[in-house]
Amino acid sequence: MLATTFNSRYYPLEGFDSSNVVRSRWIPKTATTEGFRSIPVQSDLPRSYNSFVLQAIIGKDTHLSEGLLLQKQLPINIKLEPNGDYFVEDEIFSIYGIGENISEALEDFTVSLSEYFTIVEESLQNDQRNLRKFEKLTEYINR
Amino acid sequence: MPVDMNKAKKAVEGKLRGRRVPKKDPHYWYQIEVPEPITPIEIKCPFNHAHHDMSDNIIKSIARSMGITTRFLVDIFTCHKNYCDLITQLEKEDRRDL
Repeated sequence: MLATTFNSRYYPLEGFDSSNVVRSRWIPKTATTEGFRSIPVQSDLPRSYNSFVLQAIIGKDTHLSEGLLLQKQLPINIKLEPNGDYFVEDEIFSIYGIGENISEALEDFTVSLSEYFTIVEESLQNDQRNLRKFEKLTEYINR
Repeated sequence: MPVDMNKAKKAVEGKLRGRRVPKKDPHYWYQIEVPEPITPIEIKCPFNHAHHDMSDNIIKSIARSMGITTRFLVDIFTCHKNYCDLITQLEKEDRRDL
């Protein structure tokens, strides 16, 4: 369900390439007739950048960088930055990605998530305090 | 409240003693060493966008990664709070879901 109150008018997102969405297995939670090719926008929204929040999920079996695989669907929020960029953040690990469009932001997010996984994994060589964090990561991500 | 990016970078690398983890450019990942039993902190900062302010979305995300409130992180970036305050706060309440 969308976090903001939208009316029933839907407009295709300008410059949004749905083929990238399919490739990245980006699946919105909203069950609209337009599916993930459109983002609902009220005629006078977003009035300010922080009023735009779209909740979605990244699907299971999405390939991340560094040979990693998402083995459980991951909820994300998509927001607008003040400069018009898109901001993607997950609800579990608070990792974020930024891009000029949603596809770029998702790509930046998945790279960042992979990097976070390897940083935590490597830290265990010297320090076991991240073990719980790593166990939580491996619930969602694995090689 | 957006924060000047250069000010934030100085705070992460100076006040918080963040050690940069070499990763794919342009990402700036830092590890912040904390005393036991606090869980280590890893944060990604958008310092490649040096001419922008750090937005509210990013500050909130970094604060959550650190287990502190957004207000506390803004105070570290812009004000009097320092590394010792961070450790004291995390010992008192670590907001991370670990």
